[in-house]
Amino acid sequence: MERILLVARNVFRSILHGRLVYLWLAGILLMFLRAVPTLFFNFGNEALQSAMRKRAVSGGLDTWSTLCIALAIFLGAMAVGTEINKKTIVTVLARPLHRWEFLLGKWIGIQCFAIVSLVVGLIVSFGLSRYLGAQFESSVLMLSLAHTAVAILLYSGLAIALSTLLTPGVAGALTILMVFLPSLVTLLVNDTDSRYHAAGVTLNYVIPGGYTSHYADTIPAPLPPNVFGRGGFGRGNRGGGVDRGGDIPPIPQAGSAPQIDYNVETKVLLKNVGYGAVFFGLGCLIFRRRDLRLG
Amino acid sequence: MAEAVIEIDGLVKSYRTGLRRTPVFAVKKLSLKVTAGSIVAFVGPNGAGKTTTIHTLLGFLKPDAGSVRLFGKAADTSSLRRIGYQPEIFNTYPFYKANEVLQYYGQLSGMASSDLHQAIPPLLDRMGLADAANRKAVTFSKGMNQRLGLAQALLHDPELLILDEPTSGLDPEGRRLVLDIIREEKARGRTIFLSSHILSDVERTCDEVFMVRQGEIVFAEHLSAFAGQSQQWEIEVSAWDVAVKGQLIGLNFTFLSEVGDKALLLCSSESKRDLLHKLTELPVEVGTVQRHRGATLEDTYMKFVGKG
Repeated sequence: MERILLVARNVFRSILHGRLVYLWLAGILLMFLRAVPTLFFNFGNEALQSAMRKRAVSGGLDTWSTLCIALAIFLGAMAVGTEINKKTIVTVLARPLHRWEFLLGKWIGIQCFAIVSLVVGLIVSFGLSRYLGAQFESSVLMLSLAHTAVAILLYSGLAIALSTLLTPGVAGALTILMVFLPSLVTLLVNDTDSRYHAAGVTLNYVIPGGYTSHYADTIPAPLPPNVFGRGGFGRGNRGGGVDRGGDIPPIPQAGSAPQIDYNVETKVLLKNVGYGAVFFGLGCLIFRRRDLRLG
Repeated sequence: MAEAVIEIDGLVKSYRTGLRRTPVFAVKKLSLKVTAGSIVAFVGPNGAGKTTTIHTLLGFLKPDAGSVRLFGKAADTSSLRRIGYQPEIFNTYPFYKANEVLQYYGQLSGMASSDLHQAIPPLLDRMGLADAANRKAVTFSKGMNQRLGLAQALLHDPELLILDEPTSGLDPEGRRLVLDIIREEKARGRTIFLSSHILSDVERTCDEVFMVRQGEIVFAEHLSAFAGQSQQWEIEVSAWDVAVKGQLIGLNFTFLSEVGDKALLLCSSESKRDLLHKLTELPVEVGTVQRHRGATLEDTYMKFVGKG
């Protein structure tokens, strides 16, 4: 275990050295920029301004979480390839260190950095929420953070697994594809054509449920009724032409509460953890058998 | 009999290249044995299969056929605890200082922090890097980097040292330092497997040499075989012609060369006297008479490995 943690610490340090922390600064700036309009404009409606401020905080945290997941994918995809390219892996694997220990250390290090990044975003969001007078719904916030943490675990594990066999670019691209595939699987499963349905059901076994964001519900911010006309802010028929108002789901109004089934969410989270472990395990098996051609 | 530290038997390793995955053999039925306490040189041109063999020993590559045994058992991760490896080019993480580099690799080798605190300063001093202990390794010159690479290989006091071109890129002073360290380690009973292009280094430090070409061992010998005085003599003769040659029939000698009116004869100590006596009776001029220089390591290398 000591060696695994050494590798993890080394990964963490190398990320800091890679100046990826500048991403934090960029992210914080982005969150503030997103909140700026709500500080200076009241949109002619105090209630609307209050709702917009709350949404700026929860939306900022949502964006931040997505960036953390993207960062984990990026770092996971680079995990093995850069070590091979720079040949730093030679002196590490010439030690009594199993290849799975090396990969696990990488996985832990990457997850730690992504989680620390998430915590930084959370702290900034808390500060912003106090300033803007918003209050987080703790149970939904915990669920959202759990989803992000599990997505970091799942996708960094998958990216590392793919990086044992593929170049960093291909490993990263395939992982990102996996992020978007659950939507396709849902479409296929719901298709009336039996062939598409069968394909969807099959893929459903291979492709994890993926990431679900509940950040929009972390700060209840129902829009006041009759804002900007009929449907609320942003719901006007801005594109002109036929008004599709009837097709668009209603924006939560005052008094509406998020409908979250925590049992289902827990099952999804556990399933994702399982998929992450399986992908990572497969990566370890591949890496164990793989020749390391180092020139 | 000394214990075999490295035993490679019929090692075959190929790489597949191109769309058709055509196999290219890097190592073909290579067999060798290294006994405990010896310094063995592994020499050969670029692409001969030296690094492939070393990487197979270390488990980076899986053999297609044949076996690799370390310390009498099949090579595995646990045997790496007893090995120190210096790669040809030592690359480490750019954010580590020299002492942190050693700390990291030492801990990976299972050394306790207290042991590392005791071991690192004298080791850096031995490598001539004491003043650079707190400098980032990325700022090191190539020579300093090589010495740091050797330091990390020696740090955990391994029984077997595998050194891949340890003196390449070093200035004469650094080279001498490294060769001295290799000899010191040999004196301490370590086994050293040294891959090198520099034959003079091999002659100065090694006990045994394996020459490899195109993935096969083409020559293996103890270095002592190159050190002995030859019992043969060279006699240089001018005004040489066919008639003279005919007069020497029945005498025991061979030709080293015969160009125009000059010939270089090779004879044993016993037949030297008779041959010289006969030559003084003939219309030829006898030039230099000297002990025949035996084949050097370089001659042998050129004969078995080189293109010349």
